[in-house]
Amino acid sequence: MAGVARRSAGRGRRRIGPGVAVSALLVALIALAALWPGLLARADPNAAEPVDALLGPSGAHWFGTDQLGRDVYSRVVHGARVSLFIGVGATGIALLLGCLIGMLAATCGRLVDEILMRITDVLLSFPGLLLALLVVAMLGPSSTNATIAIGLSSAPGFARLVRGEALAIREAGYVRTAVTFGAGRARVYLRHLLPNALTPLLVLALLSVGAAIIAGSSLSYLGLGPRVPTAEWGSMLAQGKDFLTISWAMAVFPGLAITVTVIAINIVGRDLQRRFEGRHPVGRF
Amino acid sequence: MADSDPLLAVDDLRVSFATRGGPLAAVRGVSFTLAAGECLAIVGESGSGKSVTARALVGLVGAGAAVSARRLELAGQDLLALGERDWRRVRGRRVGLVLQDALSSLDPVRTVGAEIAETLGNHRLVPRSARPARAVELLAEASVPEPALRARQRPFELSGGLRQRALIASALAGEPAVLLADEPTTALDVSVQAQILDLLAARRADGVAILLISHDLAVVGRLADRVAVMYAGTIVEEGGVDDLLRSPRHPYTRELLAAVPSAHARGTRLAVHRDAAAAPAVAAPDAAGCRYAARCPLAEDRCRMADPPAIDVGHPAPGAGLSADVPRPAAVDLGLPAVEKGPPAAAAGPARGGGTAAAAVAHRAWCWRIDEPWPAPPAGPARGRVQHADDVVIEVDTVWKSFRGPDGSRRPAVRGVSFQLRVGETVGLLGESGSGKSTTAEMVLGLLEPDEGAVLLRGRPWSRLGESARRPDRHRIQLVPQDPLGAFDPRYTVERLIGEALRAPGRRAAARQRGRIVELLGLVGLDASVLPRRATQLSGGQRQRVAIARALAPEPDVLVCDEPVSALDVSIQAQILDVFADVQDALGVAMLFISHDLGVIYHTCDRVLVMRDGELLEQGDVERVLRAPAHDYTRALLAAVPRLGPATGQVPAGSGAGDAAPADGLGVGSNVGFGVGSGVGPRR
Repeated sequence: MAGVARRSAGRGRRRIGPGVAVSALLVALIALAALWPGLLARADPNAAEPVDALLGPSGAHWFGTDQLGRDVYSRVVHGARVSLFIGVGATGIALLLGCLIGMLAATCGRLVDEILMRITDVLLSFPGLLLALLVVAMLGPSSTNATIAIGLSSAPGFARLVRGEALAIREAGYVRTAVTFGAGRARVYLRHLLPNALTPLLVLALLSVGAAIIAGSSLSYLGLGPRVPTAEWGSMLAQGKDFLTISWAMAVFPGLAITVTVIAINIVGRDLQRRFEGRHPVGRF
Repeated sequence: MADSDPLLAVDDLRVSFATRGGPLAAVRGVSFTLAAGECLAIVGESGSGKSVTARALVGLVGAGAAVSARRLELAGQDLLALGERDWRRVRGRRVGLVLQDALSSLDPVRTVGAEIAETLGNHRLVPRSARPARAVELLAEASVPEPALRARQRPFELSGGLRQRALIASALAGEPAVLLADEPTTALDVSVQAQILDLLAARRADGVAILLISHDLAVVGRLADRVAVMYAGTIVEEGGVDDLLRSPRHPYTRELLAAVPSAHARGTRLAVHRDAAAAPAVAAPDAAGCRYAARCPLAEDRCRMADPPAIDVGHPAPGAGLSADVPRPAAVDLGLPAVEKGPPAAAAGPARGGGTAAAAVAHRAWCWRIDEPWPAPPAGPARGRVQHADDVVIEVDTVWKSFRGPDGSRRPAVRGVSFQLRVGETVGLLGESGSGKSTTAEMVLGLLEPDEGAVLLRGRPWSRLGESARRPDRHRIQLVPQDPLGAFDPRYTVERLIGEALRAPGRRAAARQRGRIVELLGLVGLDASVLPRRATQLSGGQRQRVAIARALAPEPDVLVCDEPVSALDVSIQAQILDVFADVQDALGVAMLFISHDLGVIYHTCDRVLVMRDGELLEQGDVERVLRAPAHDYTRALLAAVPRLGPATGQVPAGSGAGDAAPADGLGVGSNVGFGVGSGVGPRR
């Protein structure tokens, strides 16, 4: 009784803290940069002005210029598109594959479960980036291939989680009751099992967007991402490090872009996670 | 035994919680005293504030709560002034706490012995080397068989009853003067429950003061000396257990007693209110007037204007005057000899008889209308008079089912059970946990295949069919679950939940069926306002109503009800049992009604099957089986049921089961009282 009363008191809508508000604003800004970079940066990210090469930050060039005299601010803004594309795309692929493998493992009997989960174990035993490198080595460097590579390398983790959720939910009362209404297996799986197994993963997926952005930047830092001259934070960072002694701005701002984006996404993701904690779909409390 | 100076004195205790909508008063001015060797029971439904009251006495109401009182003293010490460190010296040492759920109260990674030794160590009662031996001793005192072995086991290795005893042993390790027992028997089977109550009674006889928190009036009647009935944070009636249960005066107490399903109520309604509107007024703002007024059939204007004063009821002679305006028919004990009652119960008898404290207690009710007659319960659909067609809907033919145990051996769960279910009939399946009744139900539902034997649906094979062959007939057998919260997809609104059962699973498809859905909700006493809500936004009673509506949606021939009311308060339980009666009257479905509660079975069912260890021990007409049981086990079950009223210790001990009951107990016209055995009956 006291527990109930206390819980209901604690359950009241959590207030949005200032850190979360700033982070959410940043995430929105980065999304805007990815969708309409022209709104935030008027300069052409690929227009070279060799006369103005390697300048420090100024009124004309907020983040300075690179070795070819391109505006770093504009390139950072335009680079958001590729970075977010890799982050969101890779997570999407991982989620899709993870759901497929996880649901198959949870619903197709012990043998399928055993085989799929052992493969997952093997894949999980490699560091994710190593796996991604292997895939890019096979497919060739490009931003699409980097996305696929990162997606494939993070799918096993999602597969594990989906399987676990689905196995627990399969025993829930509402799945058994659906059977007594004469619902077929496919319908029960699609209408009850999958949506409920997926709900707790959505927040986790948001968190993994941040990790995928770092992985994407790492790949393009190594020259395995999008081709030059595409503006991308990882490759900008790689170029910047060669001129670090001449212009600090060229490396620092892309690096800052990666850091700020990932931290902002993580703060928003953690906050959502806390909000949804305890709303577990298995139905036992 | 009872001192003039109370051990525990509580005066005007108030507890409120800070919530988003401002402070919520859970306890609004509760006063009582408790003397050594006395048992005070606080009774009420969920949300009445009874548990919060108990927790305030051990400083465990939580950080967000504000506790105040004019006086809160334990043996002369002011509890309000205690800091957290002082509280730790009180808990366990001076006040022991026994909670409902022993499994979550005991640490799963420690042995039971270590758990008890910890209490001993915390309060430095026994030198370290002597603690294990003392722990075993305490287990033995709590009537745990093979205490030395049990002390080395972990909580999940023990049965529910043993776990509860172990918890009591650890609560008593510090030799506290006061024991707080919060729903100590609620999750237990009747026979285990009886043993735990005997154990508590024996402690009370040793001089321990017990504060018993319960919603179960029968349990209270068996153990308590005095009873305080709480509603919405206040005590509405208090008095000696005999007075109060025999002649309840406050309308709420009368509602509670009338709601207990038992013989007297067969064929009548149990609840005053048909619809789900009646909710406890926990969250109501601090308005003036009696909080029960909104639900009270006797309320008049002044009840809503100001708080009613305490009115002394006095000590009515048993059976005099009052029974006339309390139209609970004079229900009698079944009169079954107390075959299974152990010596502790007998030992407790004299202690209670000598409890002068109980006799000295005034019977008071906070109500103006205590002398008003209680409205007679409206007649429900007459049971027993329904003409059963002889069509057999379900035939269960010697089914066997076993499961693989953790060690790989086959454990039989159901052993050769056979029965038939006819159109419009309700068959009860009675048994304790582990008796195989749920497994039987799952085979009827077609969710489990019997190993041997068969289930037939309208004479055609039902088990042994492939799932696709069974699917077209699935809708004919529907389940009403024990835990509707778990049986509802948490993402679905009520509209979609019922829509799914109407084979309109999508949101839009469900909306097109809205007319039919509202009609189904009407059958169970709900209206369209619940349509957009999700399961977590419904009260327990509303959830069970939705579950019934959903089970009725596909127009089934059979409802399988798996303990559908066991998780509900007695007043909500009464409403749901009424809903079942209405539904069957209107639609004529056959019901297989699983319960461990004899009163519920008796009230609801036409025939009853008694199961134990997977075997069907006895079956037959409910009147015959529960009045003149043929099997020893059924007799033992009946004997273990705690009765309302002062039955304990008054039943002549020693008379064997074979002697059957005294003639008046079974006499024509007298009712069977599993729940209600008031002393007003012809037994006197």
